[in-house]
Amino acid sequence: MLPQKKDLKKINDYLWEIPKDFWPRMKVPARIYASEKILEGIFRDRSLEQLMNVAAMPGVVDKVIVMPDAHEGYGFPIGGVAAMKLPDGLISPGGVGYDINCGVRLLRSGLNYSQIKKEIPRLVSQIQRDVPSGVGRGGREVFRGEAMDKILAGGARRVVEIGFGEKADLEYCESGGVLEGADASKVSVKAKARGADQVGTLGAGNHFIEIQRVETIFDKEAANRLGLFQDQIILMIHTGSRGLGHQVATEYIQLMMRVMPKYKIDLPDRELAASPFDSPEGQDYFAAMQGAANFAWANRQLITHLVRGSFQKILGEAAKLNTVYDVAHNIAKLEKHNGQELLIHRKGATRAFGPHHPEIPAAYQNIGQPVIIPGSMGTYSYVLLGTEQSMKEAFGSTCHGAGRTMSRHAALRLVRGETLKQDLESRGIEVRGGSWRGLAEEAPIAYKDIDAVVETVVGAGIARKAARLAPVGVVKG
Amino acid sequence: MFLFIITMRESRKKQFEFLPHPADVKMRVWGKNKAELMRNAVLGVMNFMRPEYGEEKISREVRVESLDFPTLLVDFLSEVLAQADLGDEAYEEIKIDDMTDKTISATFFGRKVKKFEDDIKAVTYHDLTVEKKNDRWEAVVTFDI
Repeated sequence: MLPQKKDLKKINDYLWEIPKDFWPRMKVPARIYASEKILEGIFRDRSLEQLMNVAAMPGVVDKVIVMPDAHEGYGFPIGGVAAMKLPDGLISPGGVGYDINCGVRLLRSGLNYSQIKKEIPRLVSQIQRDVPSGVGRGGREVFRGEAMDKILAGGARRVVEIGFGEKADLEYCESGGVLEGADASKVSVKAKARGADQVGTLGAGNHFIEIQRVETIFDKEAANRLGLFQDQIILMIHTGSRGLGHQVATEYIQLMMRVMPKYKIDLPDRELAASPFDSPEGQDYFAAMQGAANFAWANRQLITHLVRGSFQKILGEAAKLNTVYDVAHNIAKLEKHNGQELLIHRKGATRAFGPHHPEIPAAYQNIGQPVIIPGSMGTYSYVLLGTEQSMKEAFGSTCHGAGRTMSRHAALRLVRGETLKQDLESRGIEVRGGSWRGLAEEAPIAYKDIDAVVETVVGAGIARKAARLAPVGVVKG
Repeated sequence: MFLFIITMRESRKKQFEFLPHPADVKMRVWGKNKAELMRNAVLGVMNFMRPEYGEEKISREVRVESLDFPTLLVDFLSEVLAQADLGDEAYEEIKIDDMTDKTISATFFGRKVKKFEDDIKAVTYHDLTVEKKNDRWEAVVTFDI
């Protein structure tokens, strides 16, 4: 059943297909966005086998997709996009991920790198103080009972309502920072208890806050609309729904595994635990997932507020930060594509709507939706833009980041955290936080080359480049 | 390959080790019987997370039900993670009070933590194996980190 390169159809230099008839259980073809070199890497783990299993799910529509930052995940591969028909196509928590609405927000300042270069060490230290990170460190704001339910219902909008942000932050956030179908009663007491002190916290692992500078502008008109300029200081926040989201995912995977027999769902991989979207369990998960997604947007919103404080403490009252955009890369959404209402799963993939889509901010209508692509630590990040072609052939989706090639073990063998920190600092990148082991595990050598991943999606036409960003300060969880 | 070995009074055999995986972490764990397998799995999780202990002692009772023994192992570890996160605590001793192939009741003894050095987002069923090999139980569990 395992495909080899000879079984794939090459559509263009950046797009391959496993035809539907390669395996009788596939209901649709599987498409892989990858250069030839990236494709060879993808064969090294079980991403393609997993993708074919997704193509076998009842209700799947048109094609399943994996992006060039693909790697093997739980059930669905990371980098996966799958559309399900309504009302009864399947919804699968494995198609969203454990860290529901893990995503990225980009903020822009009015400042130039050379203006504030000397202050960066103090700035990262301040951010590290102001935004709790790591594991077992709670935030200053605690949300219980009705306060938590309002966060789950209102997301970033609720956080702005209670005084931690600006209305414009919501306008420049995917879905306005809130999904209206959330139902706090479908999120368990345990999940809410885990999340109570986690709003406004960074978490750990590959989450970070980065101070960056705009290193290259690829499209001047787009950069103007985005409010970006050469050598500008900007700030990137990469985090998700913390323990609350993980608990929601864990509980609903457990639930779906139990109810699958009653729906007589025949799946080649039990990790694809799923229920029909219109079943009670499917609806409950979708409502809880939206609550967790809102929690993540609330989190990024409160962190935005906290880093605004950090900036002002170090750089003065006039140092403002405005939201450029905020995207989710682990989520399931109801969207219309090619005339059809669908449930779109994106796991380690980002929405990339093209120009003139009604859901993108007015200021960006002509250029397309910004897609924030975080690089691994110490490497470039990108601002891309969604395209019409992405709408036509990829359900308005693109990649999410660099993707791992190397196990954390192997990374640890090759990189010592202390050495990495020194190396980054010698390149002018201040690093704070995280354990030495955590630093080494997140070393760039463990990730696919971000430039190659971006070249692929751009070459394939499912995104285009606006700007490239270089890190100057990192606060790691 | 990294080997984390803690010797305990009852057994000098290896209790758990961590295996390479592209994005996550796999733990292989052993036990002379099912109960010891469960206990060593919890110790392995705690070992990975590297708690920085505080002073205050705690005990926690946990009960989990599942579909079968392999999923029970995963669901039990998920509950361990949830309780550790909820209480900011880590566990040093695990007493299995009652166990069947589908249920487990346990009491954990440990201490509050100031923080954990490393995080496990979730325990998954990915590539889950639980089997008896050469008179010992062996399981492989994948963590999403």
